[in-house]
Amino acid sequence: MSFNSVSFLFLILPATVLLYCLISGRGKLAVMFITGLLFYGWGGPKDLLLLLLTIAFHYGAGAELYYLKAGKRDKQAKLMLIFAVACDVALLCIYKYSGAGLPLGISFYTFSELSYLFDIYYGKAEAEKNPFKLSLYVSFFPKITSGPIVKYKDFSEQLDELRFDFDNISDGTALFVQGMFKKVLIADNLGVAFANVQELNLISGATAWLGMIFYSLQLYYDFSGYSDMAIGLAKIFGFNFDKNFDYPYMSKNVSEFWRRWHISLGAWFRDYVYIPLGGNRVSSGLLFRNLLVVWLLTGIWHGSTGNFVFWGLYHGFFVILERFVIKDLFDEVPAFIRILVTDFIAFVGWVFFFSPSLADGFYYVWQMFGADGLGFFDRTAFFLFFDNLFLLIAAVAFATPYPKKLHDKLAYEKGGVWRVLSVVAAVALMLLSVSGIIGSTYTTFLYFKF
Amino acid sequence: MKEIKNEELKKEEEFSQRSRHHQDVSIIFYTLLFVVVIINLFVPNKAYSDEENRSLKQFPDIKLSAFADGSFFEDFEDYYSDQFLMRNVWIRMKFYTQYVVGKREFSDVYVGTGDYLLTAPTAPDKDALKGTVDGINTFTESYPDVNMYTIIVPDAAAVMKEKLPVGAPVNDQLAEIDSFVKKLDTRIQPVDAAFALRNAYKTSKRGDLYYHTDHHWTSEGALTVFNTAAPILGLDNSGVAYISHTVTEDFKGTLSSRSGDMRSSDVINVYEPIGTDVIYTVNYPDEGIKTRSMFNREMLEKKDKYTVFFGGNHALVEIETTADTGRSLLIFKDSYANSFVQFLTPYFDRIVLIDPRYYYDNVGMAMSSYGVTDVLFLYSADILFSDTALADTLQTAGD
Repeated sequence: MSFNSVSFLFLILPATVLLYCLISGRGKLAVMFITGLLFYGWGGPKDLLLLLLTIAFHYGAGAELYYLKAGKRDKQAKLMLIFAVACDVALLCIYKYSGAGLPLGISFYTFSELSYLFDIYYGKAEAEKNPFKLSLYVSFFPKITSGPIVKYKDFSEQLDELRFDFDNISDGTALFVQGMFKKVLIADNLGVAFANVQELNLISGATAWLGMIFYSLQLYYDFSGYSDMAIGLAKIFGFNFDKNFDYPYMSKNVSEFWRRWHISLGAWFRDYVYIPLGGNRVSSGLLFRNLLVVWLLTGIWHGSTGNFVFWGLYHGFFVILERFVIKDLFDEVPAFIRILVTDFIAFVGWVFFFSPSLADGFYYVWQMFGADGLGFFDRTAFFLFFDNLFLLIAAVAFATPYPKKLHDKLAYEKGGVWRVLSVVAAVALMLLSVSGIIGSTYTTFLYFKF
Repeated sequence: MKEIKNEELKKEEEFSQRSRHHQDVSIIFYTLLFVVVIINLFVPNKAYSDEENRSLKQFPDIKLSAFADGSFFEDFEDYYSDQFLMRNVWIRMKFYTQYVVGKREFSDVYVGTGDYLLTAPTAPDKDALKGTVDGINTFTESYPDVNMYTIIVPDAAAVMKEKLPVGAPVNDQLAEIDSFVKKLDTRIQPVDAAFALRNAYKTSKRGDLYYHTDHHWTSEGALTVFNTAAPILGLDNSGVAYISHTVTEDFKGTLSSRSGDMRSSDVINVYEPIGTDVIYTVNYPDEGIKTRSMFNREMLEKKDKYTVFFGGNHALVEIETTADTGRSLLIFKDSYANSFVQFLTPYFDRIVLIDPRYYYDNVGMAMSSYGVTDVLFLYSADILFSDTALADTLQTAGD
């Protein structure tokens, strides 16, 4: 199930929030837990069973690891950790390479489970005695399908100090609603525009550029909108998750881009791969290796095929280039130029992300230079551009922090009528979102070709 | 010091404004959710959607197997969205929002000026097209004594290019028709429907040649082409006039359905020849039905009101008339012909309609048993250039 489905919005969400408010004490944890099972089990019990099995495995592995660490048997602890990680990697590989279809959210929850083991191994956390609490961490429904990947230590600390607070509910809901706007009103419409490009047999250069831009913006709004919904939901239940996106398309270089895009994944790799490898406090040879490992893994985490590996190394290449060669060379260049160049690098990267294979990715880049022989500009590109112009303007504008700054200044600093206007706008956008969700299920039986 | 205090006060004020704002948004949001959920419980389920022309999902069966494979919840989601409170209103709202912000393409349907809905003509399928050309030419050679004609009707988007939204990428179907006709045996006499329609459109001699909401031509469009065709087919229509009857003003066709643009409705007119005493009967052999009219008024109650003509497509339709001209016409056709035949009854003793997409009998037998003197290929270019059924059917003449 997804947060923007009718069943979630108009059944699970209101029922859960209502129960959460009505039931007191530890019952609140049960509400979260049961909602999680229902939410995850929605697609069938098979994936749910696998999830519970992996939780049981990590519960045991965590207890063993903690026991070994407490007894100062570091060598055995290390072996135990390697064994558990190998099991997880094997499980991921089986699903990613067998073509059996990935269980929902497996990349995300496996990383949560690994975080649990790493935090115990590095002495940041104790093993959880209560299996329900560990289950709640792994299967916490706001984050299970698409993240953010919250580190165990951060989650467990908050879990022990949860306080019921109406302010949390309203702050969380406001963020959820904002994420819904991004997902439903912008991302989903950009998805339609991108699909329009994809269904063409031959495309001109300009159409290919437009397709790349549609996709890059769609991905940002889709993922960051969904993350906002997840973080907002978590907030409703009293959890403070860090933001997962921080206007990544405003970055001035690729390294910065990765501090602003899918922040929780970057943090996971930093804490559990990069730093244990020695981080940047090593010789430049080792640093080079560390960066390479992180970017290779980042690529593979996103997908098992060659295009994802290439995409990971492609970003790694720029990060390493910035680190070793460029350094502060371009600091004098105006910011907006550096932002545009960074976005261009990121956008071209997404071409390899959406292409089904590495060869398709390269061909698409070639198409951007007119590979299909339709020239650079044609009517299709012209039409696609103007047909989606409003959407593009909105998508570009909200990828910058300025509309939000302006909104906050007016609605919160000036307040009064501005705040009322903002609420009215939010209501309008809510209605439009419902219409977007219901409208996307519009299907008509066509007796068209007759 | 004082400045810092002011700054803090300002921050606090901002903070409280923010949380009040969040409270307002939340209260409204949950009110919306709960109101919809509760009203939804009391609104009875609908069985059918006219706008979407399909059955709506009902509450899924509660079966263990449905839970085991997850299909219950999938079906539940479909059920819930199908039976959602004011579903059609939300769907229209989505269309309007996009239209207002300048979108003009919806599921491959262009919203043109004058609220005309238009589709880009299907690009011709090269193999199918060659098969069709060969099929028609071979068939023509086998019947040297039979008059052969073609009427190939272009799409609305080709005739009324000017109504398309600016820049809409649409292939040049008029040129495609030209090149198709040039490949045909010279003994086949083409009726230049494209020119007639384009000319009528440019000089606005006639009203709407195509429906606003449907991909078909109107009776007026068909009449325009009939007037061009009559001399070519050797029909003496000097004493005949046609008067029109409006049978519905509430036709929302395929293009409305596909795009979700429900703003306009079309008028369907049917025509009656005046100045002739010819009467006819229509026989649907496969269905075993005989009628005195080619218009089926029952169909006006249905969604696809264009089926008022012959009740839709049939493999075979026979029309017997009292014209006594000694001519028997066989039409190979798609649905465009359905609204054209109304103009033909005074001139042929017999008119036989064969829709190759549903016809599986031997065409050679039909040619001789009906005593066919004239053959007309009447197609929309869209179907003719992509369909293989005509070639397959024509081939049976040689068997």
